[in-house]
Amino acid sequence: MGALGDLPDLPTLRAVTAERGDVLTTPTPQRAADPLGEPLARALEGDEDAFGEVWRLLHPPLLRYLRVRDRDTAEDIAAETWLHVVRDLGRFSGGPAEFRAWVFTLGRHRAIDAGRARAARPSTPTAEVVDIGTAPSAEAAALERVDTEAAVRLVASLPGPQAEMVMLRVVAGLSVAEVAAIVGKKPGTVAVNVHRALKKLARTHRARAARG
Amino acid sequence: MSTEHDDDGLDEFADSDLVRALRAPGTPDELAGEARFVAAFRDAHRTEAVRGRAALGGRVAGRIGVGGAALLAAVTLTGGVAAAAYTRHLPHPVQVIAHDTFGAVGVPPAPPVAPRTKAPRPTATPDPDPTTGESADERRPPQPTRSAGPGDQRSPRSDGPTSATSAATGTDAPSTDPAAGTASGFPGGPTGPTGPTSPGSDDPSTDVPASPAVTPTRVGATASARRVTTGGHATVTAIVRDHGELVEGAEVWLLQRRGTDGWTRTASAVTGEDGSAIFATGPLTETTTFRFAVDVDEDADGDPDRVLSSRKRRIGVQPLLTLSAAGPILTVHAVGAGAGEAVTVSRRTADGRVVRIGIRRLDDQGSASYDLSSYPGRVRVLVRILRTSTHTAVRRWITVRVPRKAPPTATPTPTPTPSTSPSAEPSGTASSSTTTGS
Repeated sequence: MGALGDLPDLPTLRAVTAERGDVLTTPTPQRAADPLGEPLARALEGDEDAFGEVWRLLHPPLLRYLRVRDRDTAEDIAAETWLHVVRDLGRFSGGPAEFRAWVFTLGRHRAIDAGRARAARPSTPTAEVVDIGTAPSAEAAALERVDTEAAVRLVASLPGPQAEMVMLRVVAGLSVAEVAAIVGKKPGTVAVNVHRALKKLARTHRARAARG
Repeated sequence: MSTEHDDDGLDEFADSDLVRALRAPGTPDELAGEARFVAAFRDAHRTEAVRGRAALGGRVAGRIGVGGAALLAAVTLTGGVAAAAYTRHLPHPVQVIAHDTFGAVGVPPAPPVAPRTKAPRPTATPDPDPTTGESADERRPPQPTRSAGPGDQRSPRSDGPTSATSAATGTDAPSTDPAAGTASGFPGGPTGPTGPTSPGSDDPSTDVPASPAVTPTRVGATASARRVTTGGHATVTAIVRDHGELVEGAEVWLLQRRGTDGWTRTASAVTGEDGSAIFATGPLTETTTFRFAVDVDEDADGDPDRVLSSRKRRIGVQPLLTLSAAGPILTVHAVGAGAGEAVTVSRRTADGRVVRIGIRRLDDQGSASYDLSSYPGRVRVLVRILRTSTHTAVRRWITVRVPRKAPPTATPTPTPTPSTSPSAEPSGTASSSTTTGS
């Protein structure tokens, strides 16, 4: 009763129709495997190049998540997080989903701690939004940087907890349940918040891009 | 692991410019530091091998000296948020063991495949940064506080750098090398002033290689949550004390028991300088009870004489309940509950009582439905799945608008009839349903 074998299988789950607002929708088909899985397995064995791959896959998302929390300390906290990960990697066992959850949880804890230390010396956070329209054109890399940068700032303009949920969902690749466990809220709350935020921000983002 | 209820708009917005920008591959700026971290990885990996050998020499672990207090389990409960909140900061180190990985019911959304960075491939020269990085790491604001109380009987071993003032010179080389980035017992602050309670008096127990005269007397257990939704994670933390003093370097075993099974030793970890060891669970699919065990060697003969146990901590796993309605047919879908389990449907009567109006069993797909035709208009019902040994109860109220006219194709019945498929409703029905987390 309740043992793993009784859980409905994936296709069946996907067939469940879900209602959002007043609209009945069918969920999308199964997604592809996590590209982190293979390099992670090799990195856990000590493969240095594989670890580099893992880092390249997760460091930008981690940075972006941390930037939403606090721009100025994001780099430092991400660096500390990785050193921590590297130190304890030998004790980690699990798949890519667990690894993502672990890395982002570590980063989040460090950010919280740093935030507490900083609370004694408050500074006004800035969440100005870059207008993409006025961004300098030029080579693709610069544009890409601006796009991503602008998108991150846009998310940072949301209230803190909501911004965090969006980043953990969209960028960290965590499930609703995982995000809920990390931030300490109900999965339903996470789902609603992320949906609303994305709806609103996607509109804004499109409008700004169109103006450019 | 993604759950089936990623209906938070992610799919809908996955192609939006915003999401694609957020998920864009790393920019050269973001990817610039790779060499430093790969070097840190290389160093840590090398150190693991060294430390493994040193551990056999009896550096720490559970072989601890004489003692003999009564067995007590210190208990503290934390609600929701991180175990780090309990220990005031993230302990150094965190040992994380993931298990129960088979609980996946889905896979996470695939981030865009990150192409090989255009940035120049890092050279092989070892970057001096790992050392700086470690120092920066350890100089972070929340300095770990040494155990409470005067530092006379200082249980945790003081590693070299922090106890610069005390003559703790005998500690093993691998563990005191900051550049090596050892995983456990790493002090906070190699250069700065020592922690507030760092004792001036020497603790004889820091002399190596004799094991410190420390005996764990208590193992405390806390869990980050008492309940998670199926597929959710939690962390469980063990705190080891010797008569109130935190014990560093004790080997703690995590034992778990799922449903009605027996106890199994799942993983072990070594407590850090604040006496704690944290374990992260994988996605949980069944209510699980945890406890910790520490082997205590009282007569210093190298064999454990007894086992310290913590109290048990239970993490309930709540099934994910989805309710939807098409016309008068209410469909229930549960993830994390078993086929054949009972689902009850109730409503509140005029005098305020909640009365059960039906009971169904979940089919193999975890679904059940109920016909509410005999309650035309708006009806508010309560759907419940009862607690079992493997999951908690879950309940949800939902309002259903039942069409007043019986559809021509269906036989009107005065009493609700069980049906597993919604009948076609020719009249425009307003369906109201709730998607639920927990």
